[in-house]
Amino acid sequence: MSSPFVFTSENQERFQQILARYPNKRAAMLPTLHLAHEQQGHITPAVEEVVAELLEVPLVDVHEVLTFYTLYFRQPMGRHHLRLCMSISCWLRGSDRIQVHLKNKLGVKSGAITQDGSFSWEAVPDCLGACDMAPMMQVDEDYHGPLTPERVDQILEATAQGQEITTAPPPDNTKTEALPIQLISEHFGNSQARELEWYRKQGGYEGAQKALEMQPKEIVDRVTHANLRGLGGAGFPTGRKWSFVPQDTGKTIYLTANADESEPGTFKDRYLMEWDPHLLLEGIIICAYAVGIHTAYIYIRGEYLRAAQILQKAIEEAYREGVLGERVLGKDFQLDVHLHRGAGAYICGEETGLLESLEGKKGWPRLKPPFPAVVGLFGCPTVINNVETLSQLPKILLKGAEWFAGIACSHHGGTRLFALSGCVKRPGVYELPLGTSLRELIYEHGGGVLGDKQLKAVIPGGASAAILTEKDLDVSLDFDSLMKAGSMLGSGAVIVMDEDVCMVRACQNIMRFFAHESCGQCTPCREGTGWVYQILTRIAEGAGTPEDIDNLAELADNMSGTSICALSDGAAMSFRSYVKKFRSEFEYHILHKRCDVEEKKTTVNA
Amino acid sequence: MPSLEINGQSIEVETGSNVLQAAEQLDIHVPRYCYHPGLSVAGSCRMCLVEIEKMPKLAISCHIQAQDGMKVSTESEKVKQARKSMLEFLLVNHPLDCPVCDQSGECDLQNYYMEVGQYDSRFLENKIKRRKAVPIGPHVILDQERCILCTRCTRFCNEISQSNELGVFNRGNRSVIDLAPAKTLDNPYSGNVIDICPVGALTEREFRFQCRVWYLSTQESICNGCSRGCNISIHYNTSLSYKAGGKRVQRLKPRLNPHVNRWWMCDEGRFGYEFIDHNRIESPQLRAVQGKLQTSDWEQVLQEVSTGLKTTLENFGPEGIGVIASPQLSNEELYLIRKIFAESMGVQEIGTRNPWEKEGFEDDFLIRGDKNPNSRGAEELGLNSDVKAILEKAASGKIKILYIFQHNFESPEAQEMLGQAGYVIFQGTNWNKTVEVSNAVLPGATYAEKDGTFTNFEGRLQRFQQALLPLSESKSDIEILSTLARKLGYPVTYLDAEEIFREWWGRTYQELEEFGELLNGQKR
Amino acid sequence: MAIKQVERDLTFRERIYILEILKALRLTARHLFRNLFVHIAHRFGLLRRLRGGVTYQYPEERRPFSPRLRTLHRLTRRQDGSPRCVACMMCETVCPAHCIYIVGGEHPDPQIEKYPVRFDIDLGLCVFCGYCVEACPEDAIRMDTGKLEFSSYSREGLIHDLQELLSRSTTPPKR
Repeated sequence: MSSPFVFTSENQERFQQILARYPNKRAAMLPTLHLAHEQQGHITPAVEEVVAELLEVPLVDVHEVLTFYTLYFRQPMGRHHLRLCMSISCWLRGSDRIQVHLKNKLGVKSGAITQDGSFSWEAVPDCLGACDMAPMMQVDEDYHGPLTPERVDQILEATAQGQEITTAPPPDNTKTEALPIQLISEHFGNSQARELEWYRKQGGYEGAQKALEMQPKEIVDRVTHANLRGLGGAGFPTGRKWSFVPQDTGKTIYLTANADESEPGTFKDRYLMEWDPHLLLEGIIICAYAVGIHTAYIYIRGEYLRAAQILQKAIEEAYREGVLGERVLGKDFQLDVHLHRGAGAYICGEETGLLESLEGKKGWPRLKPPFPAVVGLFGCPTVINNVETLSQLPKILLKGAEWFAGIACSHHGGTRLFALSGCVKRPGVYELPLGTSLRELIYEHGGGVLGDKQLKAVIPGGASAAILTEKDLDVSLDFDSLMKAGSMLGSGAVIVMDEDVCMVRACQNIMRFFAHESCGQCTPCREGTGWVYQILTRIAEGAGTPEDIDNLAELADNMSGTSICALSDGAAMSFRSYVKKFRSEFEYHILHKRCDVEEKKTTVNA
Repeated sequence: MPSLEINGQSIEVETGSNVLQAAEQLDIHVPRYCYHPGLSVAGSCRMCLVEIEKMPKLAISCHIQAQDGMKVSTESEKVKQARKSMLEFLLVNHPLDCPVCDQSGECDLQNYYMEVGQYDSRFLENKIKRRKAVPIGPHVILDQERCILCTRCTRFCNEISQSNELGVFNRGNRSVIDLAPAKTLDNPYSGNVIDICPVGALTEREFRFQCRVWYLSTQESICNGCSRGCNISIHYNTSLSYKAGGKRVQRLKPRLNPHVNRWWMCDEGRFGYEFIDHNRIESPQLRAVQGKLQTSDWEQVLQEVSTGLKTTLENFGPEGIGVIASPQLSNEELYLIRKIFAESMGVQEIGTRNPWEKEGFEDDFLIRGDKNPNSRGAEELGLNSDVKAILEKAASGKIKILYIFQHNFESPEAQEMLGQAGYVIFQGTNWNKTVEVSNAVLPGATYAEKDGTFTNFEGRLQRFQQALLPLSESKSDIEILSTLARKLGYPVTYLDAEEIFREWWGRTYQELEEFGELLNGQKR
Repeated sequence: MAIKQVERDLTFRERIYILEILKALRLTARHLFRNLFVHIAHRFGLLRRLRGGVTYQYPEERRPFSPRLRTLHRLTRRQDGSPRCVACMMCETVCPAHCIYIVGGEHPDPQIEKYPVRFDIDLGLCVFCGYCVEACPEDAIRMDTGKLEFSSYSREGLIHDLQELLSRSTTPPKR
């Protein structure tokens, strides 16, 4: 029985501040657990009891939350904790090799602590959102990559000695002269943009200023006509989403900015928050004013510790300078913005999963209808918008709807950030107008395939998107065209695979992610993702049967359209496309019990 | 009142009903696991998917509200395929436990499996291993491998018993249902999770491995544990006497009554059936002149009792007879007692309430402090004399012959008074302290062995039916009293309890309303 | 469809029946002399391989029967010698003669969970239909002992219990 847990007096203060951010105590669940985790290093049963008492919730609810999310340790860990990303983009750049090296170097396997207690590490199947520096790992709060065995040794040594790690900055691929227009990425690479004054000098907060002088309905119309569509994954027209919010219920209306970016291959929101936090805040102000919102939460994924720190500073500065608070930018409009850190769950990026998590529960998506616009956070009408979508708002307000719509192809507006990763020469974030071709993105901006190899496959919009081949390279990167091509634009994460990539293993990697992230609430997703992963592993390891291929196709159909949320549909769309378009590779594995691609490989990745 | 069409049939339903409820009203059964009418909607099992015209995807009928003009199909090819696939997914990690699982025979996985026709497995992988046969409470045992994560039990503990012992931990296919840390499932309604669990994940410890469910017969009855009168089913096995150590009653389960207990019953009532087969008085007893109780036969005992009553009546009048009836007896039996003793013999003092019996545990849900099923019935029939006074009169000698039904007077005060009483006749079911000081013992039948009605605390008249024959030589109280009455010279010729009920209440059992009838001030 | 009835009178030869009688007598004689010859030869130790008559000289000689024949029951064992039976009651339920009596109990190993505390077969009632073998999901009961002699001096003696049924399976099972 562990000794009783008590918050330090400083943390007791912080706890009170946390409570003040929410209309009920339960919603403080995740921040309170983070606080206790910070103080003690891990969560013990004593902590759970105290948290249950403080938040006036049953103990079982605290335990459910604790076991659902992955960032809370329940045992003491090493002095330094490493997370090695094993997701698709890192895998394509050789994370397997780094895993072996780390295991040998530290002497313990994933999930364990070294003898002297200095390091603990885990190889995580979920994408950490840093595919531009693949293969990478998280050391305590920082991201480090691209990794080589030598680099890993350097980092380990520097960390053990408490030294500053000289991080080679990732290649600055974000600003190239070849980019036709930059609406939201113009400050990438310039840390001055984090300062409010500098930001304002560049014309920052003028968009919000303008909005506050307009009528809310005007803003909604303008955003609708600008053809702005959700850039988190679903691509739903933003203005239309706002118009669903009923203004006459008498209930508080909330805004949550979805910064849970966890779709494998996606790292563009992290760039926005790390380089241009005020842009996001400005977008929040505009959205809030347009829909009658006075309380906004930014739900940021727990792994983005640096981004959270930068954002928090920006928010505090904004409050100090009167940009947020009682009178936003001096106008008669009150807006509170709170940062809320997640605790490691991809499913909390799903809009209702996010709401459940914000309310202090495990991230189980809700049944729809009712939709969040009507019944959302705390039962009140809620708008949920992605970070990038909100960041586009200032320019729309400043330059107008027609201008914005004109940048892109028909039925679309403006630009979007493409997170390019995988087997390309220049992985990074590229802002391009919607309607740019896939070929242009990869070859012109991304420099083409690494090592000038043949391109085999491309995922155009994050792991949930169906895979495309080099036949589809001329597809226009916009929501409608990609949907017609049988895939989706999704989160804008473009992952390139070359001729030496085994598609069976790639598919297995993707399904491992989905099986790990499935919340487990509904039958098809919980059992389906796990089962498909098992089948793919069996095929990849040479124990496949001829029926497996047809079974996979049928399972994909059974997992589509039958679940509560779209994780199952995304997973199904994904592995269905691999099996369909690369059937011959699957057949080879099954028939010959080995991989033809691995055998043909002449160069080792990275 | 929206009107919709399901499988070609039209129906009008209450606003707010979901499609599944609408289908039920048409006697169309939509398979489901997580939906339960007494709990909130989870919508997670995905078995109740139906096809609704104009909706692009299949929709879950437990959540979708019935709307005007909806056209629903519960048997289309798409729906059948979806059901089959959901079942296949559920069976992926489900263990092959049917031979050892108690739920076999009443398992919804088995039932839908046969209906839907998902016979052949194409699952070649290893199933996930979890904890098996874990007792999580005094009455419930958990098997995590069998659990299909319908979350009915966690919702029950959250919403109905509000004790929050169970939760879903971990994520994805590593999810398990388990107790909250350092907790046990010991709330007073823990047994209900056994009823609602559709599979053998939560089973009854008392019933474990006792008897296969297809050997059981059922009968509708009323719990005699307290004055709530929860509607129950008695599940019994009389054909295979070597099972379960010869126990006849194997378990009790609640029946739906929207006015009394809805779908639930408390643990005290649920597991309080031991007295039906244990510690019963199996044959009539007579106290010999030397002072010990000896087994006798009905003819002899009834003869002695009737002679005793007749003599006392002649020599001392009705004041010499004291009758302490019981609120455990049915209305019919109390009516008969009143008819024989009060109306025919003129006995003024007939009491039922034991003044030493303290109110037991009571809560704001189902459990009542009065642990007798028919106190209200006794009250309504006017058998309200002071029992203490009767016992005092018996002790002082004013009452010569005392007729006690079913009571167990344990308090030392009562014991003393009984010790000083003249002739004590006991009619009841189980051995207790009062039986041991009686002169004549007539073994009666338990509520499971007779027909009758109880009136619960709010004045609701509810019928219970006979499941078993009276054990060994015991007889139903009506039969005992009728025979006794005839020996005393009164023409009592009721064939069964229903005849008495007809005379008393003016209706047949069939005519009684389905969920019991409120007295509403009617006095008989 | 009409049926055509063809009547024919018996021929003279058939009516006398003498030929048939002689044919039958010839068959009987053939058997008689052959058996006589062979049995005499047996007495001298000759022609042992040749069968004398169709009679099986029970109990020294037994009639061969198919391995599928349903003979006396046995309960099979696991590798460690414990019974395979998990007291699922399938055989008890399916038995048309209701001659199997099983009482289940808790097995200490949660992977096995259940075992028979009591398993009686009343052979006085058993009709040897073999349904119990078909119904068993664990291959725990078989009727392949080949034994057909199990008479008893009392009715109770015909009730074979768990130990007796198990004893017919070897401990541990042959690999």
